Amino acid sequence: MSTTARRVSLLVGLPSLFFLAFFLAPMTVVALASLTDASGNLTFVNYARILLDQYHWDVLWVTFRIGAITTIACVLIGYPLAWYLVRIVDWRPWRRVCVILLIVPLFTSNIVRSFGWMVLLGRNGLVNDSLQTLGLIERPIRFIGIELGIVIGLVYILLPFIVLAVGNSVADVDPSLEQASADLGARPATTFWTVTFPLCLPGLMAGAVMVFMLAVSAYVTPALLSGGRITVFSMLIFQQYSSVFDFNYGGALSITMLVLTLVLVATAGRVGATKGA
Amino acid sequence: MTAPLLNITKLSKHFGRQAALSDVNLEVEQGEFIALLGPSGCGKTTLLRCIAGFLKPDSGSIRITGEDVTRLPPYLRPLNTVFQNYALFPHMSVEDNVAYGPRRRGATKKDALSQAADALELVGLSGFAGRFPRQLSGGQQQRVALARAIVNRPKLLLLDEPLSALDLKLRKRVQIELKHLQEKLGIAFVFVTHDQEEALTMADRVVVMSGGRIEQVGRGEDIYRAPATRFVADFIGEANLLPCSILPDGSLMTSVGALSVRPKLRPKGDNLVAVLRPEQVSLLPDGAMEGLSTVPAVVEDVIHVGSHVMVNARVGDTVITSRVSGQLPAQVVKGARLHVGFRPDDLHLIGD
Amino acid sequence: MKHSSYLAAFVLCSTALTQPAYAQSQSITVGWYGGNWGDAFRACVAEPFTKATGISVSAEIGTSTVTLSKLQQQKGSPTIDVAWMDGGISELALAADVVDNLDAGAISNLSNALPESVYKSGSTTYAVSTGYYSLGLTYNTKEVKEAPTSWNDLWKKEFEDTVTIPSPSNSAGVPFIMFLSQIWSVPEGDLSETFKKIKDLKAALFFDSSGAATNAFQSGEAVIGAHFNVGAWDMADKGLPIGFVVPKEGAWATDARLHLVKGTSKKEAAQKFINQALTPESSACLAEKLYLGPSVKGVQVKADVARKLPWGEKGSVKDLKLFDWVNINEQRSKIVDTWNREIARK
Repeated sequence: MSTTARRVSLLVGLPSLFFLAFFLAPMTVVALASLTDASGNLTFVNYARILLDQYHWDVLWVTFRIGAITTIACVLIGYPLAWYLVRIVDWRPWRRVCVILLIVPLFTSNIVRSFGWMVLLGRNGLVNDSLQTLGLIERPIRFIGIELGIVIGLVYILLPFIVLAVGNSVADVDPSLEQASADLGARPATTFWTVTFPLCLPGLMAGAVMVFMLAVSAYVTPALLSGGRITVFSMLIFQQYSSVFDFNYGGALSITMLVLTLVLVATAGRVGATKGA
Repeated sequence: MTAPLLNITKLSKHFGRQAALSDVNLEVEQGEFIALLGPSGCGKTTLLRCIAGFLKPDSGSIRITGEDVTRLPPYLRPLNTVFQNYALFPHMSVEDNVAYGPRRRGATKKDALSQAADALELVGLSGFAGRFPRQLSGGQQQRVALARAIVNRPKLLLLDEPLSALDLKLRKRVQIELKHLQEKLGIAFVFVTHDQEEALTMADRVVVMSGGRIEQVGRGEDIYRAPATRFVADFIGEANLLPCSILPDGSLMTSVGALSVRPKLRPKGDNLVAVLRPEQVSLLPDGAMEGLSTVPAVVEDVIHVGSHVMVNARVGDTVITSRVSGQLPAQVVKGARLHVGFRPDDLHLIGD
Repeated sequence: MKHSSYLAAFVLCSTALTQPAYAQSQSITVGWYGGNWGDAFRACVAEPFTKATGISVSAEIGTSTVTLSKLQQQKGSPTIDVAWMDGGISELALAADVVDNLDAGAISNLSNALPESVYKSGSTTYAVSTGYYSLGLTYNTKEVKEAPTSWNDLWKKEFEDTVTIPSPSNSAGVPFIMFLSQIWSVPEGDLSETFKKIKDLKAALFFDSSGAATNAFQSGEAVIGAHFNVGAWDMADKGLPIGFVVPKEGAWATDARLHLVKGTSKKEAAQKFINQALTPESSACLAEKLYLGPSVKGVQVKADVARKLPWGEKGSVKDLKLFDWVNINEQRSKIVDTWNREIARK
C-alpha cells in the first residue's frame, strides 16, 4: 500500500517537478520581467507600449495570418496524405518508407531545412530555374521575402505533425462504422462527410492546433525566408532579447503572444468541440 | 412461382489460399428466421458479409427477390445489418443514429426523426432519443442498433452475433424479445451465432456450417435428432458416436458389440457412425430391460451438472455418456458394474 | 555533532587528496565563439598557451551575448575565467560589472597592443582587442564586372533586387545604419533621411546572421552587398567568385575582445592566457586564419593575407570606422524600432 502510494507520488511528482523547473519557472521569470521597468518597479508600461500601438497589432495580424494560412495548407495537404498512408497503401514496406520519409526531416535542424528552401526558392533556385526552363515565366519569381515563401517553408516543416495526428485518428475510425453507414444507404462521399470526417475531427483539430502554435511561434524559418522584409512577432521578441537587451519589453511581447495564441486556440477548440460534440 | 427472398447459389470466397466459403447454396423465404451456426472460422460471418456487400465473392451469385445483387455496393442493397459491436455512430445522438437510414433514403429531417421515434418505441427506448451511445448500457446500445437497422423496414435483416456481448441472463431475455419482434415485423432474419442453443431456440431453420461449407440445413429439432454429418452430430448437443458397420446379414456391428438391430436408414459407405444422444442412454443397475439393447459397462465418472447428472460408462474401449435427470440410482457410483441400454430405434446412422 | 565532524574529516581528506593532482593539471575555461572562430582561437592562442605553461584550456562555446548572460548569472563565482566578446557586448559587460581590470604589470604584452585596441573606462582597462573585422562591400565577381567603389553603388539600377545588407538583428545592423548616416552626413538626432534611402534600396534580403549572408551570396540570391571580410574571404578561399573591397567612404569595423572575468579563482593563469593572445605570433596566426586585422603592433603577414584584412589592400587600422559602442547602444532600441516599422514591413 505505502509502496504503491510512494510509487504513484514519484510518478506524478517527477514530471510535475520537471514541469515546474523547466516550464513554469522560466515562464514566471519572463512574466515578472514584463511587469517591471528597468529599475524593477511594478508597471504596465511595457504592455501599454505594445497594446496601444497599431504597429504591434499589424505584426500580430501578419503573424496570425501566416499561421492560419500555414495551418490550412497543412490540413489540405496533410489530410489526404494521411488518408493515403492509412487507407490506400496496403503494401506495408511502402507505408513504412513513406512514414520514414515524413519523419526523417524532423531530425534535421530547422536552420538547415530553411537554408535548403532558400536555395530552392531563390532567384536562381531550382523552382525558378524549372519554371523558366519550362517557359512558364520570363523573370524569376520572388519567393523569398514574401509571405508565400515563409508559408512554403513552414508547411514543409510542420506537415509531419498534422499527418501523424490525422493518420492516427483515421486509423482509429472503426471500419464497421463506415460499413454501417453504407449499409444504411449512404454513398461513399456521404459516409465520408457524415461519419469518417467528423470522427477524425478531434485528431485533425489537435494536429491543426499544434501546427498553428508552432507556426505562429516559429522564428528560424520566417527569419530566414522573410529575407528581413517581413516581421513576425517572434522576430520582435528575439530582437529584444538578442540585440536590444530590453528584457522587460521583450517579456511583455512574449506574454502578449502567448496569451493571444492561447485565446485563439481555446476559441477554435470550443468551436470544434460544439461541432464534434 | 415467385422468387425466394434470398437466393444464394454456388457462392465461393477465398482469402489468399484459404477457402472461406466453398460452393454455398441457400434459400431464405419471406419472414423466415435463419440462424447461421458454426464454430469460429466456419465461414458464417463471411457469408453474412457477402450478403451485406462488404465482401465480394469470388464466384457464385446472390439474388434478392430475383434481382442479382452480387456486384452491387452495400448502399444499393435492400437489406440492413446489425453489427456485432453495434457500430453506433459515437458522434450522433440515439435518434440521429436511427434517423440516419431514412435520411439517406431521402426522408425529410422531420419524417426521419418521426420514423426514428417509432423504431425506438418498438425496441422500448423512447426516452433515450437525446442520449449519446456512450451514455447507454450494452443492452441499450444493442437495441439502438436494432432500431437503426429496422427503421427502414427492410425485407431482410442480417444480424452478426448481435447478442454475444450481453451477459447470459440478458441474452436469454433479448432472444425472446428479438423473436417476437421478428414475428411482429415479418422481416426475414439471417442471424449469425456460434451459440447452438441460441440458434435452436430462435431460428425457424438452422444452417450449420463448417470449413466454409454448409453441413446441414433444417429445423432445429431435425438437426438434433437426425444430424446429416459426423460434424453436425458432434457440434450440436452432446452425442455418443459409435463407429459401426452393417454386417452381411443386415445387423449392426458397433464398437460396443454386435447389435441385433436392423437400421431403417442405410447410409452409403463402410465406415458408419451411430449417433446416440446421452438422454437416450439408460443406466440399468439390475441388468436387462424389455425392449432395450443392453451392454455391460463400468461407471467411470459421475458428474453432477445441477439439473441433471452425466454418467460416463466404459464399454471395452468406448465410453458411453448417459444423461440422467431425476433421481440417480444409489448403485450408480464410480467403479460400479452395470448395464447401459438404449432403444434400437434411437440409433441414428451417418455415413461418410 | 558527530555527523559534522565526519563531514569535516571527509572534506579534509578529499581536499588533501585532490590538491596536488589539481596543481599538476591546472586548467582554465575560456568563453569563445563557435565554428571556425573557435577553431582559430584554439589553434592560435590556446594551444601555444598550453605548450608554454602546461595549463590546459577548456572551451565554453557561445556567441558574445550568450557568454555575457552566462557571466551575469555566474556573477561572484564564475566558471569562465577568460571571455571573448565582440565590441558592443564588451561595453555591456563592463556596465554589468562582470569584467576585471587588465593589469599591465601582470600582462606585459599589453604594451604590444595598438593604443586604440586597449579599452579603458576611467582607470580600468576592461578589454583588449585581439583583432578587427570589417563590414565592407562584397560582390559576385562574375556578375559585377567592375569592382564597386562606393556604398552608394548599392542603389544602382543594375543591382535591383540583388542587394543584401544586415538587418538590426545582426550585431552589425545598428552600427551600419549609423555608419551610413555618417557618410551621408545625416544628423544623428534624426535618422529619417537614412531610413528613407534604405527604403529606396531594392534589396534581395536583409540578413540577420552572417551565415544567411554567406548563403545568399553562394546561392546567387545576392550579387552585391555588405558582408564581413571574414565571411567574404572565406567564400573566396573556397573558390567562389566573391570579391571584397573597402569603398572610398571606408568600412565600418569592430573587433573581438578579450576580457578577464571578475572574481575568477585562476586570475594568474587567466592573465597569462591574455598575455599569450597579445603576442605577435598569436595575432599573426589569427590574421591568417580569420583575416582579423591585428591589434598588436608590428605583426607581419603574407601579402595574400594582408590584402584580405579588414582595411583592404592598402589600408591600416586608421581607415576603419570604429564607433563608440556606448553611443550605439543608446540609439539601438530606437533604430531597431524604426527599422521594424519602416523597412521590415511590406
